[in-house]
Amino acid sequence: MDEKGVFTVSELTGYIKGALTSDPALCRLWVRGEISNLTNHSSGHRFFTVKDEKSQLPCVMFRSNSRRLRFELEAGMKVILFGDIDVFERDGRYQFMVMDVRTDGTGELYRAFEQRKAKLAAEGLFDAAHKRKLPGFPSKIGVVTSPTGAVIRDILNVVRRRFPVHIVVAPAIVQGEFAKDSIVRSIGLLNRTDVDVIIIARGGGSLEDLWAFNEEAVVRAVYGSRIPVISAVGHETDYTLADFAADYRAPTPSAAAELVVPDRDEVAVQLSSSGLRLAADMKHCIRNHEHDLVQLSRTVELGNLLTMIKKNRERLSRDGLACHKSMQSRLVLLRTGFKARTGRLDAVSPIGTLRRGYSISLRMPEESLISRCADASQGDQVDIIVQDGKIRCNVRETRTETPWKN
Amino acid sequence: MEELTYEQALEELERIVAELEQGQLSLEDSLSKFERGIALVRLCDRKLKSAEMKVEKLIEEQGSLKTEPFED
Repeated sequence: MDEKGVFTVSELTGYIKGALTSDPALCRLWVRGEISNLTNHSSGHRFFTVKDEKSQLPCVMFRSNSRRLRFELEAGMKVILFGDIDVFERDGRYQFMVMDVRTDGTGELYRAFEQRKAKLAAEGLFDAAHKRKLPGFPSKIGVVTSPTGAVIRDILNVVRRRFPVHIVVAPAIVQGEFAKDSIVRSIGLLNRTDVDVIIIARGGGSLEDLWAFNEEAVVRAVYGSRIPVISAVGHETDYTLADFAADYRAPTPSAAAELVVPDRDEVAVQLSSSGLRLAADMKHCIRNHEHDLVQLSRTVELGNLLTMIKKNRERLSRDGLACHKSMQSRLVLLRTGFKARTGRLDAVSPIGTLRRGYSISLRMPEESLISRCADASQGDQVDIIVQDGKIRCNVRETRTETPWKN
Repeated sequence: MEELTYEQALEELERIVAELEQGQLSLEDSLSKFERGIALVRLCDRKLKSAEMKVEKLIEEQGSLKTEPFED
């Protein structure tokens, strides 16, 4: 100040700054408005204005604060800002130094979810073409989940009941700030083993609880996994970005286990059925060839007889007979051989199957095995073989439907 | 044959059954396919019956992977 009490510009500005920044009402406050004039400076500092119908307020958010943002600021966004009033002396302007931004309303995380979903979808991380089929009969299953709690217990119980196999658990933290790195690491570890499929599982929770499975790093790890991934995160209606990137999504961890291992009993029945078809086919095959051989032996016998009839009658009939006899003994050998083999086949499967209530249907009179609708038609006679005999039936109609198989 | 996985054995069995059903093979070939088929049925049956639960925990120590029994 000079002698007559006149301020310099800097002095006055400094005074104003002091007055505003020392006022407790202007520190650490929340202000609500709509974003406009947004510039994203290359330095990472954000400059924008927040306004309402009558006024506007210049804002700055330094990089140290803006890099913690979970979503991008957009013009027109309705926000609630937290920060301090300050004075930028060089420009003679007051401004609001923003430390935190919330979207106005409950939508902050959902907004981030939608933005990230769009971004990653555009990169092709959710494309159906990239998804692989799960192996039909895995011998080793990897699981990424918390090592304690209901989720891993449920998965183990389902596998134990359905088709016990080798399970490798890669324990992970599934919630909180350390979850993202933990999940990524566990997926990476399992990719270095020889498991056939990976289940990623977590129980139900809020969007915040499940947030780790929306982190970009986790989504990329799921997409980039060499081994097929099935994800089961949250409840049936919860969808995380990891679910979209996975090869398969299950509504619950138990459902994931059911999708990954077949049911042992169902598989045993299919095996029995294949064995029976094998035997039935072989029987037909032998019958067809028997017929041909009998014909052939007669033809040969006759042919021999006719061409050699002039030379030596006795020798002719002896040769012919010998030929016929050798054919016959070959047939006998084939028949006994086959009986021995079918005897062994009986030992392998079907009787236990019949006792459990399954039956075998044969079309008569050929005794051909019926395993699909096309094998029988209306009016056919069918014998249904059950454990204590057979039930003779006529076919009313056949109807093709998809049964219970997965 | 023991090195076949269950999936591989089942696929081969299905192929053999389909071939035999077509009925174009000679008797010799049919018989040998049939024998192979029976062997595959037996193998699958053995694998089904011997399926066993084994649960391990995967850990990394100094860059190399190890497994430990998993305690629930």
